[in-house]
Order: sequence, then structure tokens, then C-alpha cells
Amino acid sequence: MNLLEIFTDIKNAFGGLWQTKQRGNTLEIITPYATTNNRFVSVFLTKQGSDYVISDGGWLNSGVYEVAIGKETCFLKILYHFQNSFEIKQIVNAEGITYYYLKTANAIDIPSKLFDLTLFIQNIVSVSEIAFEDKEEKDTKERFVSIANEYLKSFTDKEKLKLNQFLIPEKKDIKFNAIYNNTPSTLSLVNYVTGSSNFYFSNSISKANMLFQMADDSSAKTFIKSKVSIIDTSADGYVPDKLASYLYHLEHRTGSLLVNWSEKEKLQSILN
Amino acid sequence: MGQKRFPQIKENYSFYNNLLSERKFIFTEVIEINNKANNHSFVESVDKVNHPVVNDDSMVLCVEVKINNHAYFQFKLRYKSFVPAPFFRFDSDGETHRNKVEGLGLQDQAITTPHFHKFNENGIEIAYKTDKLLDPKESKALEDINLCIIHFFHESNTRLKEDDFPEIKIQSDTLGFKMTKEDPNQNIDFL
Repeated sequence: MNLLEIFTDIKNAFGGLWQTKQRGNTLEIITPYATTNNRFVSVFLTKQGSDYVISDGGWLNSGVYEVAIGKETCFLKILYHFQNSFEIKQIVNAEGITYYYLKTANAIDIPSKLFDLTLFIQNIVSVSEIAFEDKEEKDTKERFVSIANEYLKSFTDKEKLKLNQFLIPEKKDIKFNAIYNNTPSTLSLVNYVTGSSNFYFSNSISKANMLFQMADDSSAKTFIKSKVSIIDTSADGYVPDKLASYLYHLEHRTGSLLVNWSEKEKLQSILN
Repeated sequence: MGQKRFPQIKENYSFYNNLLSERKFIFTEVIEINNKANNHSFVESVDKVNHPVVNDDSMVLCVEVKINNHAYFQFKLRYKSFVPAPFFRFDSDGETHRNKVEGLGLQDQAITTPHFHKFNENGIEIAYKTDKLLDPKESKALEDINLCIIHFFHESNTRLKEDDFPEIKIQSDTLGFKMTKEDPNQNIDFL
């Protein structure tokens, strides 16, 4: 086999990977581009009015490629880089799933748009496989969320406690570790504050600060009875001397009650 | 980063094969799928599975169904004390898997759904289609979750009690409309 024949083989093998599936009025196009977790990228072509739309079908955001779209700054920088470079648009459907797409009125541009969307999906799925977050930090956070959740569940009324909950479910922007309905019309907002190092711990305080301030600016303000920060005094990042001014700010600027994990029993009177 | 390998499967491949080949049992006659899964687009059920050589209680059968498309479902056999990923699974719909294996032509590496997943002797997850799934008529019939679970049970050597198969009820706690949104771009105004 000469090299040119091999090239013909390559072209045929590569070209032979294209497949389609008809899905109602939309055509799923399975492309020859695969991700690092061995998934071939699919894109979805539809005619809408006089435009052709090529979308990811909501697959990136709904976990079909078996990766979670990260929230870490490093990851978001990469996401925005690819999104800007390929000029990918996004829209959220009625179920809250983000769709990434490109559209054109010109049939001649479809292959080029499809190529860009495919490369975008391929890159984002592959990059999502990388663990950006510090493992020690991730473990610290997960451990504290788990023990604090269990503790709250142990003494509160199940019906009144909502874990990892949006303040205004329809808006889906401000989320708290726990929201407790003291009465049908009053809420206690609970933030867990922890970190595996001083850096992460002070970031966690800043996040609590911001979330409580945002809650105060929201339409739910009048229902908020108390704002509680549970401080993980057992975390490696808990160094009271270094955190004192951050904690002072949290307490005095947002009116948050600070409850040290070492005195967690106090939560029982606050939340009932 | 290369592809994901599970060394515990490579090192204990005969044990892994035994997990698949030995007759397994479930005792839930009607599998009701009502609970929200970790992936919020799905509802799921989790039922205990008995395996002759597994002594702990951690082997389970998970059935997951997409809320807005009941023809999109997954069956997973999990044994987390051995391997975190499902050790055997079926996907009725979703992405095309790549079997990245040397000696296999590039074109033959793409396995569209519906397909099964298992692990090869190197602990790498591979997808495959059974003869039934390759036959367009039979594959069409297997879009019915209650027929497909029987195929899955045959393929994984699982039974309900002696030699029976379970029935699946999706969102039995609702009015029970059958959701079939197969077109992902439907009802979205792409601005």
C-alpha cells in the first residue's frame, strides 16, 4: 500500500464515521469527533423559520456526555474562551437546561457552523474531565456539607428543611446550603463556612457574605427571619486570628449569626 | 489524559466475569420509577440485587428514565464496593460510544445507542450491540422499557425470583402521561 492509498483509507474511515438519527423535525448528526472520555460528538440540525439551527441538544448541560460542567474559575475561563472563539450562542429551555447553538440563514454556512459547534463540544467535554479543584479542598467541603446536613436533619422538622436550595426557585440564582421554614412565612438561611486552607476559608466567608447581601436585595427579604453561618472550627483552614476581620465583617455587615461547629447545639434553638 | 481504566477490573477479571455470568436475582416485582435522580432530568429507582458470591448489600439495579422522554432510559448494575462505575449497563438513547481498541478499524469503533456497556480485560469500558439491537425491527420493539428490561435481564443473567421478569412503572405517582419528547430542539425559540 502506498502512502496515497493509505491516505484514501484514512479519508474513507474518517468519513464513514458520520451517522444520523431522525428525531422528529430534527436531525441528529453523529460526527467523527470524539472526546477524551470516548464519546462521539452529536449535533442537532433543525430548520426554524428561514434559519438553520445547529444545537448541542442540551446534551452538554444535561450530562449526556457523562461530565459535569464545572463552576471553577479555571474551567469557566476555558469555557468562555471556546464560546467566544467559536461565537457560540446559548439559551435556557423551560426545564432550565442550557443549549449551546449556532444559526444561519445561509445553507452554505451550515458545514462551517457545524464544524465550530462540534469542536466547541469536543473541547468542553474533554476539558470537563480535568479536576481543577484542589482535592483536599473538595474533600473538606464535601465532608463538612455531609456532617452539617446530617446534624440539621437530626433535630429539625423534615418538611421545613430544604438542603442545597435556591432562595427563589423560579430564579435559580442564589443558593444556600440549607433553608429552614421556621413558619410558613419566615425563613432561616444557612451557609456552611469551611476551607482546607486560610485562602479557601476566607473565600468561603466572602461567599457567605455575598449570598446574604444578595438575599437582602431580593424579593424574599421580608420573609428572612435569620441568617446563619455555621463555621467549621474543625477545618485546617480555620485559623481564628487570621480570619477575625472577615468574620467580624460577616457578622456586622450582613447581620449573620455565627455558630461555631464546636457549639453546634446552639442551632437547635435558632432553627426552631 | 488517556482513557479511563479501572485497574480493579483488570486485576480481578475472572471475578468481574463472574459478576456478569452468575445468575442474579431481584425481588421487586414492580419497579416504580418516581425519585429524582442526581441528574435532575431523570427519575430513578434503585433495587437490591442478590448475587451468589457477593456477601455485602451493595449490589443494586438502577433504572433511570428521562422525565421528558420515557423512551430514553438506562439500566445499570452497580457494585460500588468493587468499582464506582456501573459494572454493566444499557443505554436506550444518548451519545455514541467510541471503543478505542487497537486493531479495531476506526469506523467500527463507533457504537450508536441503543447499546450495552461492559468492561474488557484491560478494565476499559466498551459498548456493544446484541443481535437483537442490530436487527432494526427487534431494536424498535425494545424501545418499550418493559420488553427491554427482559432483554437486559437475559444479557446480564438476572431474574425476578425463580425465572421471572419485573414490570416497570414510570412516574406512577403522577397522572402517568407518557412523555415522548424525542426532538431536543422542539419548543425552543433559538434567538
